[in-house]
Amino acid sequence: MVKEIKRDLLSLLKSPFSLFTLLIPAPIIAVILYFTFGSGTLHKMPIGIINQDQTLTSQDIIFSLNASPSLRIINEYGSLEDAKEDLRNAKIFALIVLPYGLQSNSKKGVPTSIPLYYNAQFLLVAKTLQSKIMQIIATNNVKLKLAKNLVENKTFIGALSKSAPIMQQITALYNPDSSYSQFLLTAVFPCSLVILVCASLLNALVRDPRSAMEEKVGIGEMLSLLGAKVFNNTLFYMGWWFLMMLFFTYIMDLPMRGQWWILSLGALILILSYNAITLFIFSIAKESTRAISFISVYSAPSFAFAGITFPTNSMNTFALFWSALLPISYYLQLYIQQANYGGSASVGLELCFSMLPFMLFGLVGIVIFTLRGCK
Amino acid sequence: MKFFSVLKSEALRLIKNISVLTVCILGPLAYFLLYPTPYENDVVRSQKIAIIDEDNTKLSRDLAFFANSSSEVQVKGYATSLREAQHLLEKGDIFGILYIPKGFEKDAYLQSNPTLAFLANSSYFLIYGSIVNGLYQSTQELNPQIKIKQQILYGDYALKGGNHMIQRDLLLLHSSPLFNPSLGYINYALAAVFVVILHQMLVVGMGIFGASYNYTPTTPILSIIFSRMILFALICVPLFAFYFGFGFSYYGIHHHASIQDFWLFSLGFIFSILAFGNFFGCIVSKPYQATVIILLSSLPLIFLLGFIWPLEAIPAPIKTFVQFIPIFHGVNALLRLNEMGADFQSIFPYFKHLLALGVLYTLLSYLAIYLRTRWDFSSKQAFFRTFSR
Repeated sequence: MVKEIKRDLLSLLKSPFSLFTLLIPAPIIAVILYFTFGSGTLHKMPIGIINQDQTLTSQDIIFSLNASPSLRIINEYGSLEDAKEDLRNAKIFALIVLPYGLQSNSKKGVPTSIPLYYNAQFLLVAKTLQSKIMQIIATNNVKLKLAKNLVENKTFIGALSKSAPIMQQITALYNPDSSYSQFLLTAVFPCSLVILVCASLLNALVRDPRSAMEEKVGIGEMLSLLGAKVFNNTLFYMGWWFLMMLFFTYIMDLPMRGQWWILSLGALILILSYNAITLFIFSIAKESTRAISFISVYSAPSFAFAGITFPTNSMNTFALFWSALLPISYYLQLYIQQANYGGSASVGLELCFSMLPFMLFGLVGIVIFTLRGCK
Repeated sequence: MKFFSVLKSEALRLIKNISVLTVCILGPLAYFLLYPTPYENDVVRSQKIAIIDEDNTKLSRDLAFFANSSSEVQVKGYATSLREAQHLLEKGDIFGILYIPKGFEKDAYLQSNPTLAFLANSSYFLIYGSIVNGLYQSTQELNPQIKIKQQILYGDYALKGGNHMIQRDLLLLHSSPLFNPSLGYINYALAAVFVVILHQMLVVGMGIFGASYNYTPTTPILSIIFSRMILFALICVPLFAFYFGFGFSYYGIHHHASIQDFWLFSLGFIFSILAFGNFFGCIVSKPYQATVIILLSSLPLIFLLGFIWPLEAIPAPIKTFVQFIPIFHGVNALLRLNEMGADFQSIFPYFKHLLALGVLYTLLSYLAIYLRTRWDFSSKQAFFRTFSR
C-alpha cells in the first residue's frame, strides 16, 4: 500500500494535467468569485425617475432615494416612453414615477400612489431594489404623516405613534448583513470542491494503466492500488477543504460557531463519498470520456439541487429525490447547522452519518474493478 | 475537391464518435429535463414559522391567523420562549419566529406604537424574504381593525374632520415587476441557464471531437476548421430551435423576440460558439480533458455572466476576461432580446462582439493547428507536452 501511494505520487508528478487539476482551479475559482462578490451587498444600482410633481416633497423623496447606498439615480426622464428602452436594456433596473399633485395631496391628507416599475428578470437585484425603495417610501410616508399629525397633536410622540401604528423590528438571523457573498460562496466553493474531487480521482485512475483497466493485475495489487489512489486524493482535498475553511473564517470573516471536529468529519465523509461515486462510475464506464460525461451529468447541476438558492421544501418530488442522491446537499446542511447555528453535536453527527450510504457505491465500484481488471 | 473529401471524412468520424454525439445531442436533452426540476414550482410558499405570543389577546391571535392565511407563511406552532423557538429553528423545523410582546393589543389601541419582532433564518435568502414579506403583509391587515377600535375608544374626536383620514397612508407604492411578473425562478434562472447549457455542451462536444483527431503535418487546416463548423452547425441549429422554441414554451418562459431578430442574432452566436469550440478542440489533447475543463469552469462562470450578480458589481478585470467567452454576449443579449423585449438595435454591440470573437477564434484555431502540425518538431513537442498527458 505504501509503495502504491509513492508510485501514485510519482506518476502525479509526471502528469501535468493531473497536477493542473489539483492545484490551479481551486485557488482561481476562489479568488475570482471572492472579488466578484466583494462585500456581498449591492451598491449604487442604477435607477431612473420621472418627477412630474417638481415640488419640495418630491425633491425630498429623490434626495432620500439618492442617499441610499444601494441606489443611484442616473437619469430623470420626461415620460414613460423615454424610459422604456433603458428599462428593457437593463441600463436602469427600476423606474419610479412621482405623479402630479404629490405635495398638495399629502398636505390635504389624500393618498397618492407612486408607481414603481422594476426589472424582475434579474431577480436578485429586483428584490434588493424593491425592498430598499419600499423602505424609503415608507419612511417618507411616516415623515409626511408626522408633519400633518403634528399640526393637530402638538406633541411629537403622540404624532409619531399615530403615523406608524405598529413598528416592526426585522432580524436576519445568521447572516445579519444579508451578504450575498456569505450566502452564495459558502455553497459554491464546496460544490466546486466536490467536482474537483471527482475530476482528480478520474485523472489518477486514468494515468495508471493498471487502474485504467488496460493491464490485468492480481486482486491484492488492485485493492492496494485503488486504496492508494483514494487515500492520496482524499488527503489532498482534505487539505483544500481546510484551506477553504480558513478562507471563510479568516479572510471572509464568516462565523464558525460549531465544532471543528464534526465539520471535519463531515468533510471527510463528503470527500470519501465523491471518491466512491467516481470509482463506481469509472468501473462501469471503463473509459475516461464516458466516465467524465456521467460525472458531469451527476455533479454539474448539484448547486441547483443543493437547496441553498431555491429551498428544498419548495421543490417537487423528483428534485427532492435527486437532491437526496447528492452528498453535497447533506454537507451544506451540516455546514449551516454547525457554522451558522452552532447546533448540537447529535444533529450534526446525524447529518454526517446520512452521507455514509454513499460509501456503498465505492464497494460496488471496487467489486466491479476486481471483476473487470483482475486476472 | 479537397474540402469535400475532408468534410466527408470528418462527417464519418462524427457519426462514429459516440461520445461526441452523446454530449451534443443526449446531453442537452438530459439537462433539458433535469435542470429545471428544482425550480418547477417557480416560487417559494408556506414557510414554517413559530409564534411567541406573550400578549395572548384577540389582536395577537388575529395576527397569527392572518400570518397563517398568507400564502408565504405557515404557522407551525407556538413556542413559549425564544430559546425554545431557536432550538426548533436549528433543527430545521421552522425558518422564522414572530415575537409578539406583552401589551401589544393595549399599546396598539392606545396609540403608543408597539414593536413586533420578526426573526428569520437568512441562511436561505428566498425563505427569509418570503417570511418577512408574509409577516409584513399580515401586520398591514391589522390596521383597519386597530383604526375601528381607536375610533370607538376616542369617539367623536377620532371621527372629526381630517384626523381620521390621517391614519391612512399618504404614499402608496405600487410595484410592478416587469418581465417576470411572478418574481419566479423559472424566468429568472432557466432563461439564462438554458443558454449556458447549450454553449457548454457544444464546446465540450467540439473539444472532444477536436482532441480525438490525429493531427499530421499534412492536415488541411482550413478545410478541417470549416468542415467542423458546418457539421456542428447542423447539430446546433436544431438544438437552438428545440430549446428556444419548444423548451421555452414548455416551461412557460417568455419569448418576446421576433423570429427574424432571434435567428439573426442566434446565427451570429452559433458562429461564435463554433469558432470558440474549434479553438478549444485544437488545444486540448485528450478527449476527457475537454469535459473536465468545461465542467470545472461552468459553476463559477454562471456567476460572472451578469444575470445573477449584476455586471455593475463585477470588477472590471474579471468582466474584461469573461467578454472573451461567447456565452457572455449570448446570455446578455438573448435575455434582453427574448425576455425583456429590447429591439435588435440596442443589442447590436453584443452581436458585433460575437462576430469579432468568431473571427478571432477561427484565426486562433488556424494558428493552433499550424503550430501543432507544421512547426519544428522538437520545440513543438516541448510546447504541447503540457497538454498531452
